[in-house]
Amino acid sequence: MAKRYDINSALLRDLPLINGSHSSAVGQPKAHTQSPSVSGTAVIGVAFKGGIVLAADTVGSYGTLCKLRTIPRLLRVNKSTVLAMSGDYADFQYIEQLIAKKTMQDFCSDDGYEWTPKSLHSWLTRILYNARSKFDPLWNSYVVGGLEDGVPYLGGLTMLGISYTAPYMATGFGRFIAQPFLADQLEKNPEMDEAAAREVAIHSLRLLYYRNRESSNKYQLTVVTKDGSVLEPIKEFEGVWDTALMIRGYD
Amino acid sequence: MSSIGTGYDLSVSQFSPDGRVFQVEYASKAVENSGTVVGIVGKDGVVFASEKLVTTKLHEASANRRIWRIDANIGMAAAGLIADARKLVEIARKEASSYRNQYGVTIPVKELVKRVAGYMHAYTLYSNVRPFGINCLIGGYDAIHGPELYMLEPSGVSWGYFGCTAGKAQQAAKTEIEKLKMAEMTCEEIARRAAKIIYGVHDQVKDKEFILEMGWVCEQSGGVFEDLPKAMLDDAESYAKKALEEDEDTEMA
Repeated sequence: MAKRYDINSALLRDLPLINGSHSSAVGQPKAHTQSPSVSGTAVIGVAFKGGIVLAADTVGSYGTLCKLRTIPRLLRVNKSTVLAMSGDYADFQYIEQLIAKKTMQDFCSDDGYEWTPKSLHSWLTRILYNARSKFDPLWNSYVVGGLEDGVPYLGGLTMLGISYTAPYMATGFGRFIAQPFLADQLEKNPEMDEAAAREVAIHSLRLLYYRNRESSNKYQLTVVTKDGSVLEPIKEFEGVWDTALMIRGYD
Repeated sequence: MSSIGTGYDLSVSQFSPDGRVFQVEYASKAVENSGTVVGIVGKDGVVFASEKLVTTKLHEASANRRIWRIDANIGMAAAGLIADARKLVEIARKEASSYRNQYGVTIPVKELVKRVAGYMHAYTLYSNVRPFGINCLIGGYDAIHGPELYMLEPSGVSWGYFGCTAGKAQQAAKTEIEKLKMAEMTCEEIARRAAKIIYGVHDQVKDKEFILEMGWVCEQSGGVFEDLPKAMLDDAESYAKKALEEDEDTEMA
C-alpha cells in the first residue's frame, strides 16, 4: 500500500531526501532541520457571520506514535486574534515566545496598538518565509483568525511562507479530507451562524478522526466574535465505529 | 566649585586626589534641574507621580512622559535628562524581555534593578562616555516579593525604598513623604497623597505650568503597571488642590 504523506507529519522522514538520508555527510548540504519531531496534524478554520472558529485536536505525534495526547495547538493572542498550528510543536512554542515578546513590546509602548489577525498573519508570513529562505524552515502550517475592524478574517500560512485568505481553512491532512467538506458546507450555507460553524468545524475533525491515524477525538475550539475571543476547554466526541465491521480487504 | 580648573572633572575615568569622580556629581546636578518625581510603596503596591514641566503649550499633553512601562508588573519613573531616561527604559525592557526568554517567568524587580544599575555604573568607568544624567525609580509588584521600589543614581548605586523622590524639589518632597505612614495605606490613598506632594512642591513662580502624570501597580490594577485611571487621577488632583488650600487657610489663621 502506498504511504500517505502529510506535509506536517514526521512521515516525511520516509521521503527520499538529499543523499537518501537525514544525516548529512561531509560536503553535503545540511539536512537536520528537514523533519519535524513532535507534530500536530490538521487544524480547521471556519468564518461565519460575525466571527470565526478554529478547531484542532490535541495530539502530539512522534512519527506514528501518539506520544502526547493533550497538548493545546490553539493560541489566544488577544481579544480579537487567535492562532492554530499544525506541524512541529517545538517550532510552534518558539513562535509562541516570539508572539509573546512582541505582545509585551506593544504593552510597554502603551499606545493602544496591538495584534490584529491581519497584522499577525502578515508578520508570521515574514517569519516563516525568512526561515525557509535560510534553508532552515519552521515546520508549521498556521491558521490565523479573528476580527479585523469587526470583519471576520481567516488567514492561512504554510511553512514555505505562502499565505492566503479564505472563508474556510484546513491544514495538513485536513486539506484532503476536510477541505472538500468545508467547501461544500459553505456553498450550501454561505451565511453560516456561529452554531453552524462550530458544528461544521467539529464534524471536520470527526471526518479526520476516522481517516487520519495522527488525529484523535480530543479537541479544542476557539471562537472570536465581537464579544471577544474565547479559548474553550478541551472536549471529546464519541467515535462511531459500527461501520468498521463492514471493512474488508485489510485482514 | 572646587572641581573647576583642577582638571579632575573632565572625565569619569579619573579620580580627584580626594577620591571623587566629578563627572558623576555633575550628572546629579542635571537631575536637580528636572521636574520632581515621587515613588511610594503602599501595603498593596507602588505608586509613581511626576511633575512634568510644560515648557511650551505647543506640545501635546502626552508628550515627553516621565513614567514608563518596563514589563507587565514593573514601571519606571525618571528625573533628569529625558533622552538618557529613554535609553535606560530601552535597556530595562530588553533585560526584562531577555530574562523572560531565558527563564520563562517575569524578571524579579531586584534582578532588573541589578542589571540596569550595572549598566549605569559601566558609564562611570570610561573616559569616552558620560554618566546617565538621571535618577531612576523602578517599582514593581508581584505575589512572591510584594511591592518593591528602588532608586538608581548616576553613580550606578541603587537602594530599596519605602518612598523616594528625585528632581528639583527632592528635599521638600522627601520631607513630605517621611510624614506618611505608607505601610498602612492602600495605593488609592497614596495616589492622592502623592498628587498632593507634587502639587505642594511645584514652584509656581519659576516653572509656571506642569502636568501631573501618575502610574501604579497594585492589587487594584490587577498586578499590572498602568497609568493611574483617568477618574482616579482627576480625583487625586482635586484632592491635592483642596488639601493645599486648606493647609494655607490653617497657616493664615
